[in-house]
Amino acid sequence: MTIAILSITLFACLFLGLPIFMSLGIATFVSLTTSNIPMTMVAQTLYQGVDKFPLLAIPCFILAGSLMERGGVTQQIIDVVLRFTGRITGGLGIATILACMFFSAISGSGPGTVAAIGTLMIPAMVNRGYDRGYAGAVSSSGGTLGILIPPSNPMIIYGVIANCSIVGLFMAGMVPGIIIGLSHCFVAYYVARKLNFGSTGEQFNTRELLIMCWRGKFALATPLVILGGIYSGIFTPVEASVIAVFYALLVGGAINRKLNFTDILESLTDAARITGTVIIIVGTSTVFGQILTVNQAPLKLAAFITGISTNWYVVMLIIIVVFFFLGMFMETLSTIIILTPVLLPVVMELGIDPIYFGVIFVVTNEVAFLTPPLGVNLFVACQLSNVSIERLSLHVLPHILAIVLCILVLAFFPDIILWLPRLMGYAAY
Amino acid sequence: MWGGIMIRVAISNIYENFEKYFCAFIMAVMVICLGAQVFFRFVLDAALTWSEELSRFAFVWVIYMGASMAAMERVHIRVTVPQLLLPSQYRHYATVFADFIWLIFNLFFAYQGILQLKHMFTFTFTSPAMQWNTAFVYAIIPLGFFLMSFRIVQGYWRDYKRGGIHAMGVDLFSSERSIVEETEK
Repeated sequence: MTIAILSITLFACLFLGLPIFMSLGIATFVSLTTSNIPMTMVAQTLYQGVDKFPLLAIPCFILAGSLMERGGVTQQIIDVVLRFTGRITGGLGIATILACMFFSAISGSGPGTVAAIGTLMIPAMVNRGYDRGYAGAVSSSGGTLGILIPPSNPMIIYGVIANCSIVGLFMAGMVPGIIIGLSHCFVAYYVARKLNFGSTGEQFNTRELLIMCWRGKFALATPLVILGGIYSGIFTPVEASVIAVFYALLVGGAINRKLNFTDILESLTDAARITGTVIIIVGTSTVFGQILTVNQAPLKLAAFITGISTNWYVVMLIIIVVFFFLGMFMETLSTIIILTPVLLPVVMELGIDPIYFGVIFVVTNEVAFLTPPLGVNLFVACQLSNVSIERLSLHVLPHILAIVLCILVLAFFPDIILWLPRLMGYAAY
Repeated sequence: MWGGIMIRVAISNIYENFEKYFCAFIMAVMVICLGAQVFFRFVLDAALTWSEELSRFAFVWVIYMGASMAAMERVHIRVTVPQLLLPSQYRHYATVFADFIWLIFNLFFAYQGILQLKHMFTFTFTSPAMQWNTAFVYAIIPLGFFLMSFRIVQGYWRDYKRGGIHAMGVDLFSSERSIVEETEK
């Protein structure tokens, strides 16, 4: 009964177009009125729901990414990557993807990566006579890696809600991130050859590459500082995120001399804006999740799913298809916040590793970034490349296909995801 | 005379951007606290007791202040797809209706926050590390929701002054624009 009221209210509010955090809040409130839980817990949980220390890493990583972008770090990454791919057909497209992969190891957000790399690479590609749709598609699909290659904001939120190791998730995301990144490179190369974009004609020049690497040495060392610290167990994710902020200030301000006071102020408000629109959802969803659990919703869902099949592969396939469908309409972090408390007990019941499930969840959200009507990366790339969303969504189709194939491989061979965390002793199974 | 104008400009700047400056300030406090903690732990090999607590307080304040800022900028995350099915000239009415419900519940949450505060001032709780009265920290819940409500009304009031009832909630609609702005800036 309570579950019915809860879900009907939630869907009605979402359908009306209320902000997602308020929809969850209203649904919770309405179902509280029908049970005998005291109303005073509302205000208390609004505070305690977000008072979770690991979440502090999210605004810090956003702040660090924003400072890196304004501090000229992105340009230095691109300078180096371009030296590698100049000779290849569609070299600029491949360079965009590689630069996105690199920036993903600094930033934890998908659209943030598209904005950082696309701002510089889309005009560069258009100047060289590349198709605008191709330029937008490569940037938006490369940007999806932002949430898979650690650090990753969705992984932090999943780790907090699912109560599993964020470091383990960060390790598990690395190999799938590289696989999907390389498959994007392959798609970019194949499409460019088909459309005859040609290469820049520049010969590979070791001297120039070394000069560029030396010039950008501090920018290039950023992932080593962030990920090296986390992987080796020296820093917690929160500490690594703060070190990333100060490192960005050092590189952008003292070494590149590009940051001024306004840049820092804008970066701080950027981080606050995303915190206020996304993490507030965690606050209202906490009670929501508790009510679902008290009313045994996950158990009922588990019974329903195992009624269809107890085969591990079939269950994962069903869940992945549902994620694809939801991804068309829902913002990615909201999907994770709402669905994790419902689905996690179900998959645990079937003996599925929570780290493996988290990575699959995050990878399917990569597709959600690219599927209209609500595909956030497409919106950013549209703006940057001046291409209509309809045309852009046709251009990203080969990339979506590549991600879907990778997801199927990853879902059916969990060892690809789990070997690194297992090696470092972070996986449960 | 110039002094008076300057003061008025400064006041209107703060009135327009209060959350922005405040958020940037608390965010900076949060980062500096965490930075100090890391510095003390790795360089001086000593533990700070207050830094984690203060940074957590700052974090919660950033969330609800940031939510108010986002309400003013109209960038809160919504599912706008069902509204795309409506004819375009009616779309903004749906948004106005949704925001009206949002406003009512905002005020309700703010009221609940005040009840909670009253309770917390009667039975005082102090934070473990800094010995602060936590009621002052929890004050962000009613404060944040009141400010958010104010910014929603303010946005609609501006729409009304600009183009009457038909302009209300018009630019608020396009989810594309808002999300792009949210992520791109």
